[in-house]
Amino acid sequence: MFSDQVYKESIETSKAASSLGFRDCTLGLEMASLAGGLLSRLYGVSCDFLRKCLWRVVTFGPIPKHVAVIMDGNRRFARNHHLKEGAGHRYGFVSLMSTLRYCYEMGVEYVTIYAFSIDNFKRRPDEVQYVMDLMHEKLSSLLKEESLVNQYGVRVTFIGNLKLMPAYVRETAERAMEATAKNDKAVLSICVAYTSTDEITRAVRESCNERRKSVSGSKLIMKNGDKSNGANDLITVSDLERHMYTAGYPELDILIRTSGETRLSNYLLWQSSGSFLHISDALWPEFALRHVLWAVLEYQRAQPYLEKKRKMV
Amino acid sequence: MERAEVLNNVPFVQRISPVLVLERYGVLRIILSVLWNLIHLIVSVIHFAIRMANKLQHYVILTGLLKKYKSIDLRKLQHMAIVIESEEATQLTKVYRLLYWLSYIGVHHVTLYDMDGVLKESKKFLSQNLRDLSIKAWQEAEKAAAFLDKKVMTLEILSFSDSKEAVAKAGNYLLSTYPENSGSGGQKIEMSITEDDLGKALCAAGFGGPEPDLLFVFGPARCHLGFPAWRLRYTEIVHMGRLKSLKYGAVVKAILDYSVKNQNYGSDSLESLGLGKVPGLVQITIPNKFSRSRCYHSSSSPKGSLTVGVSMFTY
Repeated sequence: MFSDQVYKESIETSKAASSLGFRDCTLGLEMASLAGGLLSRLYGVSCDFLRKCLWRVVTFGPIPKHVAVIMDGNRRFARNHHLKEGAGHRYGFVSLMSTLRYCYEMGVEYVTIYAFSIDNFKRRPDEVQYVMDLMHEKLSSLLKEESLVNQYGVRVTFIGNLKLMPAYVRETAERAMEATAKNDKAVLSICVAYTSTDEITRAVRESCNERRKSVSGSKLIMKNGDKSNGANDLITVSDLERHMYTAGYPELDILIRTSGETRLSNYLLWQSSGSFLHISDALWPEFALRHVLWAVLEYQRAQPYLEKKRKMV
Repeated sequence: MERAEVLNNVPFVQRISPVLVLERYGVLRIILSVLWNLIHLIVSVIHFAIRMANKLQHYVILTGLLKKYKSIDLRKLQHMAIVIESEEATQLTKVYRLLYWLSYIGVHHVTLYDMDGVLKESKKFLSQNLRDLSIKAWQEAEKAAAFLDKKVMTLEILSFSDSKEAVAKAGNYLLSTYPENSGSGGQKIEMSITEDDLGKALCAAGFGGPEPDLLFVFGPARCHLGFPAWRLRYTEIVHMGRLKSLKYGAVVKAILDYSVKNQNYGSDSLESLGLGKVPGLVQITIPNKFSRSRCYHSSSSPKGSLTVGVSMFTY
């Protein structure tokens, strides 16, 4: 059903619609079914209007402030549709752009995506290289003026052990962070070379080193006759949270995993203690408006209970 | 005059926008409220239909009609965790019933967790009543002996204090045991802590434990409520609904789905494999306890349990 040819056509169609000044209501795969400029224009305008009406109704209830996504299913999608190795990731990127658009239209302020795990480095070298090249290409496109991040005032940040990434990807990531540093409407956090246990270990390490410095500092003060409080030498949970990558972020409201898997796969284990875990059976490239809507509606059902638990903590 | 000038500058379409008019009279809010509630009513109906379908499926599984669900492969399921909403954790008879079922199925190690520590406080009650189920407290039993004796299920009870605070305590343990080597000029060398170091520190501080393969969540929403993060890396998390309405069929279905997902012995039928010849392969039967009276006997297993009968739909 889907092929590289269709993908190219969908991108060309999307570009054509964008140049006419109309936003795509659903990007990529769904646009592939259109034929001709006028039809795509009408389709785009009507989708846009209907979608705005839908968000107006949905935002009557509570909307999550911080959404995290595990984008699982790209390789399975490529296998299912007999695509080239790695093509699933390209479709996945299109799906990511549309999902981000829906989130920002709804008023979600923080979106955190799991782009590349430390465990993924164990995959075949050619696949890892393909993903790195794709990341480099897509990050460069995000820096353009007309990109989605500038349209919605999104500040891009990177979470993870960036030293493990190749230098050229790291440089592009740093440029993306600098270019979007002044955007203040929303935040997109891209987790690369990330695992939750690595993050927790880093937080413990930073907290310990901070404590050791403050203890040696207080010992210097003691030499002058002042006393230091022994209790301040102990690390607390708030110290650890200050050293997490997500320090200063609002609490995670919903964590979405696609492709029907029920594991967290070492992602945001610390931050998800009070958040709603939503499993979607769709593969990530198939994740569309109806899946986003279902996730938000499920969250709205669970929100009163989760709010109560947070207040108790 | 100023107002007229302002109005002249406002686009005509905006001045008579129906949305603005509706907003002024609060009608828009009422319409949105009705539509929002209607959408959620549809969602509730869908959930009800899914629940009914699941109940039917649980019944069909226990009747043994589905070939796919003939047996449970426990080779991949050694450790289970159960997260219970603290208000539901006060229903200790339900907790006891669940532990009995898991013990009957043959799960080797169970970690019970509730956020507020209700289960920890009820430890005495649970220990008194669990003796007849061959369940031992994990930290009290000699671990080597317990793990060798596959008939004994070991039990661990945790609360929120074993979660984030445990990591802080492990950090303090590392802080206190790190060698005080000073570099040149009296400055301390920075600590280099790896994941292994933190894992060992957690064990040393008394917060070690196996990573569960499967985690059941009992509560209104699918949320792990602060289960120790260090042990959740690759755990399959399944939301089971409310503990009070839990049926044995739902437990079996969830464990079966897990074992089917992780099985690696092929699709041979039970007869060709031979019951008992494949270690860890358990035929689905219904335990004596908590069963209804209308069952009929067929072949009896070593535990004296009954195979599925007509009354399962009431179970």
